[in-house]
Formats: sequence, C-alpha cells, structure tokens
Amino acid sequence: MSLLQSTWEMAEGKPVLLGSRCSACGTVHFPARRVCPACGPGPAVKPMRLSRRGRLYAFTQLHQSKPSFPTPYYMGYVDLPEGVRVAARIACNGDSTLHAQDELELDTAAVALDSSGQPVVSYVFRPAAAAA
Amino acid sequence: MSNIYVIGVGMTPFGKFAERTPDEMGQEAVVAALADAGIGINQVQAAFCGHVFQGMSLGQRILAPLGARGMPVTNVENACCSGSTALHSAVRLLRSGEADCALAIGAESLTGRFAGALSGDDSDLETMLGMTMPAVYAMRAQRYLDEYGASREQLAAVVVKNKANAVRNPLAQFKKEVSLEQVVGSRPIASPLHMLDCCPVSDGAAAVVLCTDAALARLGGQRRAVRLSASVLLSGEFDNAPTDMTFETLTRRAAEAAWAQAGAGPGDIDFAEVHDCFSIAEATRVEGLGLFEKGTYLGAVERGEASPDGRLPVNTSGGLLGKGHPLGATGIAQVVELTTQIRGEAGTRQLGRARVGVAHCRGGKAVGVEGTACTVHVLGS
Repeated sequence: MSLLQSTWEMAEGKPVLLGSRCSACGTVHFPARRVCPACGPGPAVKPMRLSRRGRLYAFTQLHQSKPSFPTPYYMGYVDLPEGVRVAARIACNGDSTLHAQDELELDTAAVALDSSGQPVVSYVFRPAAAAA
Repeated sequence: MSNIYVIGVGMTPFGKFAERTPDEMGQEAVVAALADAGIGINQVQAAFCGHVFQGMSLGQRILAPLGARGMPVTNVENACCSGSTALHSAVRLLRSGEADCALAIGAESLTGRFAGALSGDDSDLETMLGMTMPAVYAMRAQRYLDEYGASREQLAAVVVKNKANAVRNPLAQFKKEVSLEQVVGSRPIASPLHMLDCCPVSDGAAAVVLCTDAALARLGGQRRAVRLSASVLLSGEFDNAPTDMTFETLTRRAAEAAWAQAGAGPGDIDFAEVHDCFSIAEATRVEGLGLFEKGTYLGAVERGEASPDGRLPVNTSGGLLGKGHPLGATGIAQVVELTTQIRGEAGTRQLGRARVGVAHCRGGKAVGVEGTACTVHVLGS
C-alpha cells in the first residue's frame, strides 16, 4: 500500500483520515506517527481517526503542476478540531467559490494519474454544503 | 576566536545554459574567486560544495581538475540553503582552528530538469496530492494580502523592483525591466501568484574564499577583505498545528542568533539579500529578520524604502526573481553581492551606504516542517 493510501480508510461508506495522538502530551498528528515529534522517542503514540469536518485556512488554484496532475485544481490547508492542519486537495467544481474559514467535509476524488494513466483516488475536502 | 574574512569572490553569469555542466561552471567561479583573493588553490585547506540535484562528488569534480591536492572536500545538500550551508560549514571549520583558509562553492544546472513546477520530494505525502512550491507560497500570499489589507499590485511591486535591480547586474539572468501590468498580466501559476512572481529555472555557480586573521596576515590582501561577523544555520521543527503562515518564526530565531554573534541588530543593517524565491517570500523574509515590521513591507516597497536609494535596499543583485536561482549557488551568490557592495565595487548598482549587510536563505519543505533549513550571514563592520 502506498503512503498516500495508508493515510485514510473508508468507514461506514465515508472516508476518514488516520492520525495519531501522543499519550503523554496529547498532541495529535497527521499522518499517523510512531514517535511524537513534540516529545521525541519514549511516550506511546496511539492511532486515532480524525474529524471529517474542518475549516479552510488558505487555498490556491493551481494552473501549473507536474504532468501527472491535470490542471487546474485547488489545494488548501484545512484546520481540524483536533488542532491539526492538513494539506489537501479541495474539490470545488461548477460555480461554487471558496473562502477562507469555509467549513469543509472529507470526501474522495481522483487527484492524479498513475504511470499507466489511471486515476489515483484520494481523500479530498469539499465545501460542507455541497458534500453528499 | 579569530575573525573570519571573505577575501575572494567569484560567480558565473546566471541564466539558462543548457550546454554548461555544473563542474565547469563551478570551476569558473572558483578560478575567479581565487584570482580575486590573489592566492593559489593549494593555499586553500578545505572546501565545501553546496548543490541539490547534481549527483555525487560535485565538489571534487570541480576542484581536482583545478589542481587541488587532496584537501578535504565536503558536499552539502540543504535544499535552497545548500550554498549558504556550505559557507556556514567553512566558517565553522575556520572557527574551530583546524584550518585557516577555506573555499565555499555552490553550483547547479537546472535547465531541462523540471517538468512543470518544483515540488517537495516525491516521497512527500503533500507532493503526492499535487502540492508544489508555488502553491505553498501562493497560500502564504493569500493570507498575507487578506490579513494586512495589501493589494495584488503591491505584491507585484517587489518583482518590478528586483527585475529593475537585475538590469544593473551584468551577471543576472534577466536583462529587462517589467511593469506592474506585466506582472499581474503574466500567466497564472497558483492564485494569486503569476509567472513573474516566481523565480526562474537557472544555471550558474558562485564561490567565496574565507580565511582567519592568521591567514589574512600570511596571504596579504587586507585592503579588500570583508569581515563576516555572523553565520547561523537553523533547522525547522515539526509542527502540524495551525500556525500563522504570514510570519517566519524560523527566520526570526536564526536572525536573533545572528544579531547575537555579530553584536549588531536590525537597526545596524544597511542592506539585505534575502531569499525571494517568490514575490511574497521577500516580504515574509525581511519581516522575519526584523528589518521591517510585520505586515508593513509591501507598503514600504511601494514607497521606495527597499529600492537602491531607499532607507534599506533589498536584493540589489536582483535577488532570486531577477538574478536567477540556481539552487546550490544562491546562498553563495548573496555573499558575493554583499562583499562586492561593501568593497564599493558594484559598478552602476553601487549603494551610497553599504557598510553592513545581511544575507538570508530559507528552503525545503516536508509534511509538518514549513521550512527545513534557514541561514543568516552578516558581513561588514
């Protein structure tokens, strides 16, 4: 399993991000860590599922990228209630407009093409009102 | 502890030179730096060579054909701080007393290396999702413009300034001034950044010769020696909590360490070379350094305060936006500019007051680490 596909799973038909939490300081990490970067080696770090909703901190529409990423597309930083900022693709199609502080919800979508030209599906965030 | 001096500088033109190898460009820079110092290669006791993508043993590939006789050569990779980290490593060696004359080299050939935009490492989760370096800085720009009420045109003024400075630097990649309209009308890359907000793909090399008090007395050349009073390298820390992306805490920490070494502060700085890989980066760099208050830089640029005739000229060389950004060479080239200005040898771009200058580099990204490396050097007295 690739690093990308190990960072999320489907639960009851919906995607969920797989993070971790330090048993000593309570810091939450994404993606999941074996060692807490705040504490260093020692304290136990336990896997946890992260909230499926967060707020958009900043976003950009990309018009140029590597060949495996058809443009244009949006990327953003999404702040989750656990105190984690996640960089993710933002699914925003049609005439919907993004704003900082928008509430977003986790979903899945194709984000890239693999070496044989097949779509790579990943977690994405999309405006909560537009989420299924 | 001995003072450290820059006694020789050299650099190639920066630009797109698909036919040139990093080895040959590095040799041109080293030969120029040695000639400038007035010494032979075997008076140099150690060398450090910064690069990012040039394969194994670049430093030895540059130096052995020039007649180096077995001196220790260390190759350094530290993203956009590779050259400045090579410089820092040479300073540390001289301070340790194990050598009294050393070379710092940076060389990079990037033409044809990238399809599309520069990204983090392919093993990086965010790179797999489509994150690019322009996208990271675009989001910083969006927050900065929103939070401080700055305009898209004010951001473009940084580009206009640096491209104009580059016209007066014969070694710079860009030879033409651009207008605000050309910047905001250039091809969109990652909103709100356009093509001209981004530094170009560049090839080039730069080198400096450093020595101690003892070597300066032995080698001569005191008249044109420039004292290097601070050399700091810091690494970014992991933090995936929400933070203020409009302010560079890593730059601030490195600057404070540099002021302590130099016995100086932001108020003593006459001019600066900072890592303007994107227009927005120049603002967050100089504010992180404390040269301008947080959120005020774009207005200051618009008022001409960072222009060559302003109160604190920034990137008189043209910066990365105008001079070019051959990754490994960049940090060394900044010190070439500081040295040339402080010596009063900068020709048509010579500043009226250039006694103390600061050079800043910041680079690299990884998940949870916004900037992996940051260097600050202070020159002059």
